[in-house]
Amino acid sequence: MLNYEVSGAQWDPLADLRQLQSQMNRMFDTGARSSRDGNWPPVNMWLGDDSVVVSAEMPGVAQDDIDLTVRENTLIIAGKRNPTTDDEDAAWHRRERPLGEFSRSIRLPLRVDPDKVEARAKNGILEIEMGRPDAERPRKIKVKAS
Amino acid sequence: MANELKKTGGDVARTESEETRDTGPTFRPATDIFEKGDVVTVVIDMPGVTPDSVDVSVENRSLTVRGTINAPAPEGYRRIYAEYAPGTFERAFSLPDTIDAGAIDATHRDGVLMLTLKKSEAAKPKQIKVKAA
Repeated sequence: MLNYEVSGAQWDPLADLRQLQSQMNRMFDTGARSSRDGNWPPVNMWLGDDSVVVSAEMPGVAQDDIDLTVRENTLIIAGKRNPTTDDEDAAWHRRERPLGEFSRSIRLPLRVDPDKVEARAKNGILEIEMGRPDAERPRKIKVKAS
Repeated sequence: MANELKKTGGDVARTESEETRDTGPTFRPATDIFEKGDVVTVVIDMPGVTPDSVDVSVENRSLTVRGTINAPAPEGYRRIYAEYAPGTFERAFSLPDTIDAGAIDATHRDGVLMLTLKKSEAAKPKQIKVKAA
């Protein structure tokens, strides 16, 4: 589960630190990652004026195998990574790519409208754009001279 | 700005020399290797890498794969959380003598690079007939 606070300035001083940590992990990790621990796929989050984008690294996952669920301020990315070969006669020399079913729940910084969700996959990166419900958009109020 | 990057990102990466281009950190991509018959398949995860920016080269029996992540930030958004970062995937494999270095086939789809390597003719078992002298 992601933990962060959305302050007025939207600046998270620990974001860079966390990113550095994940980069270090990635440099030293042996590649053997399980997709079952709820931390797969790795995600980045982007905030716009009335919407939020979650992008996820999901190489080799076919679009049909991705299952997205959006409820209030929670996004669930679930699916299955299929093996490259299910040939039992194949001799394996290296097996590092995570396989199997995965499900990850991500808390969003705002409530989103399930009708305003758009997902695109490109080169193994899934980008999910989610809009805020109309009723919750901040409105500008004009001050009239009386 | 983001849009501009999207349009020219690939070209810039190709035209600039390796020494000057800023590709960020280098990551070791997760790899599967399996063998069946006389074909060895290498499967490498390279999310965010466009097929035309993948570089596969063989030198001195060493196979090197390289790909720079080209995933621009969504336009009009600012990043508030990050678990993966832009950079370059790079990994080298040493090819055994049994592999024909000239017959390597590469495809890239959904951020996954797949290399098909064939065993050389010389490495295949051969029957030698014994002639009566």
